[in-house]
Amino acid sequence: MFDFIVVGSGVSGGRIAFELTKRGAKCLLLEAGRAYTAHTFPKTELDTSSQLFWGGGLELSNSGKLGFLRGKVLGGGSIVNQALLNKFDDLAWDDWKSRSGGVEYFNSDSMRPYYETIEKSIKASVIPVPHYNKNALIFTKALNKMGLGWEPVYRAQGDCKLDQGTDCIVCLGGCPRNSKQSSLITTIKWARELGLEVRSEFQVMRLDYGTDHVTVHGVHQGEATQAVAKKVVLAGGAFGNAELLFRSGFAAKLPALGKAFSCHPQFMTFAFFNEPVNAHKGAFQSVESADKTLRAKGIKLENVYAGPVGISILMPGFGKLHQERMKRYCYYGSMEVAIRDEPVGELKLSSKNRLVIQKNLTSYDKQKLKFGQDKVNALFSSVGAQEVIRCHQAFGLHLMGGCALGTNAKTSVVSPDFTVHGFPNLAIADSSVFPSAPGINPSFTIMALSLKASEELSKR
Amino acid sequence: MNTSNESSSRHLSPRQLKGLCKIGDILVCGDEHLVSFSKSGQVSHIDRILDYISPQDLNDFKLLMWVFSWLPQSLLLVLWTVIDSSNQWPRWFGSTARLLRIGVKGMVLSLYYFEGKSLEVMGYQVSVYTADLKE
Repeated sequence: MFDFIVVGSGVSGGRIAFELTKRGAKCLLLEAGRAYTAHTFPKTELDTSSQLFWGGGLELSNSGKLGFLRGKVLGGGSIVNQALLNKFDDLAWDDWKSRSGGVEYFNSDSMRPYYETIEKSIKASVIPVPHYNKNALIFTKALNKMGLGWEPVYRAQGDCKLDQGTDCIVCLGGCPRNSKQSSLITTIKWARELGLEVRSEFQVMRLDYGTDHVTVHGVHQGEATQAVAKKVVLAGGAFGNAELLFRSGFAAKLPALGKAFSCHPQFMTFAFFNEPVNAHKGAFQSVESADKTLRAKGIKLENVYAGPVGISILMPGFGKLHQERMKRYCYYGSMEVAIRDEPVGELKLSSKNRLVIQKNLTSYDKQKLKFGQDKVNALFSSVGAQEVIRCHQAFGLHLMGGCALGTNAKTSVVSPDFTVHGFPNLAIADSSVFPSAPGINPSFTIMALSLKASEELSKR
Repeated sequence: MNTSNESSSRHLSPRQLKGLCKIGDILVCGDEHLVSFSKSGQVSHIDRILDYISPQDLNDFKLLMWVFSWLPQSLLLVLWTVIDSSNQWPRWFGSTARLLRIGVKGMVLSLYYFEGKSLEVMGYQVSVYTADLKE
């Protein structure tokens, strides 16, 4: 029997598996996706999409208005994300404290040591100004003109060799240089060296909870199997954790299960310029808005682009109009409005046992979106854009909530010590425990909370 | 270059492939620089997507392509024009139209824009420096 089974291998699962193994626990890490290396990551956008993401590339809300990207690969979201490291500010912590019933450590001072420990353990840096690509220069010039603040993004990465012509967009399908500090090459690697057992292509289907153990039932490389541990830590993200707990019959005892889902809905706008922008080249996300007005309004402006497949799906229209627009792929600047959305989404299981994602923008969210998109229009106009194209399809990349952390078992799923209310052998510390959307990239805080959860779990 | 008549799939029948090419040609109709979806031959890669989607999604997609294969191209164009304007439609019809739109766009455009001539026409080329890394 294992001391711990950790389900999910992203920034939370990897960190918890490492910290527990380091403290002498016998641990098993389970991941539904395949294990790749820097040499074997899929090489094309099509194969990346189908092989590294749940749903063959994309999952959708039941209204079809939001698409969700969720990594399904050893290393989870840390393989396919942009490796941004943002600490929460007081606005985010105060909101969490209020919603959670006063959880003591939801403040900057309490969490600082955890952020610092994580920061010391991995490589991180900002993109040097000479490596800003033209899309970033358009973004910063426009924000400067409008008197809005911006800052370089702090990324978990080593040596990307930007001076040798590396295009960061490739690393969205797994970093071929092992520069991006994914859990695959950091925490999971370190934990394996200390004795962690890892089983990839292991899809967990159900949990059987016992008073002194938990049995995990699943399918490992096509065969039904099970594993047993004294305790299980769920790190499968908002969708994965909620779906597993629903399937395992926990809903009757956890009235808040699946509730308070949020996702920072992101709306992309393209602007056509007369000269090539080549937004896909070089360090394609090096800056972001950092402005008190925008923060107070609940929006963030980002400076990202995507490969031809991604852009073609986002680009409105079809037929000749769409083709003409796609031929101008290299001439678009792009900005994205990310909303700090209200946590009113809900995750459920359908009668066919499939996950249903109910997530619509509230009227307040729509106000934020309108403010953000008007601002983007003005920003692009200020720097001479010839045409502005708004995308209709929105995306959620930060999947949060569904197992909210709090003191009250009626309004939350996870207690402040990271165990599930009423189930001390079951713990969660990933983005699913978020009580609300912080409006800030969640990755760094997931790592910090996971480190704290590991300490709590080791005490017992 | 493989069209629907020449391509094969472990998941789709020849008729379903025909349906995919018909809707593909509405999304990517071709011009002097870019060939149409069906003429591009990219439909031959469809199993690289279908191998990874859920059985229920696969069944829904097969049914849809079968239906598309029987519709006259002109009717399919009208239908797609309606579906493509579904951004703010309410309730069941709006949801269904949007799910259908993103599903079909995802399949067709992933196949068309992931490699080949289309990338050349757009000027898309990316790389990662790896010469300093050990094998």
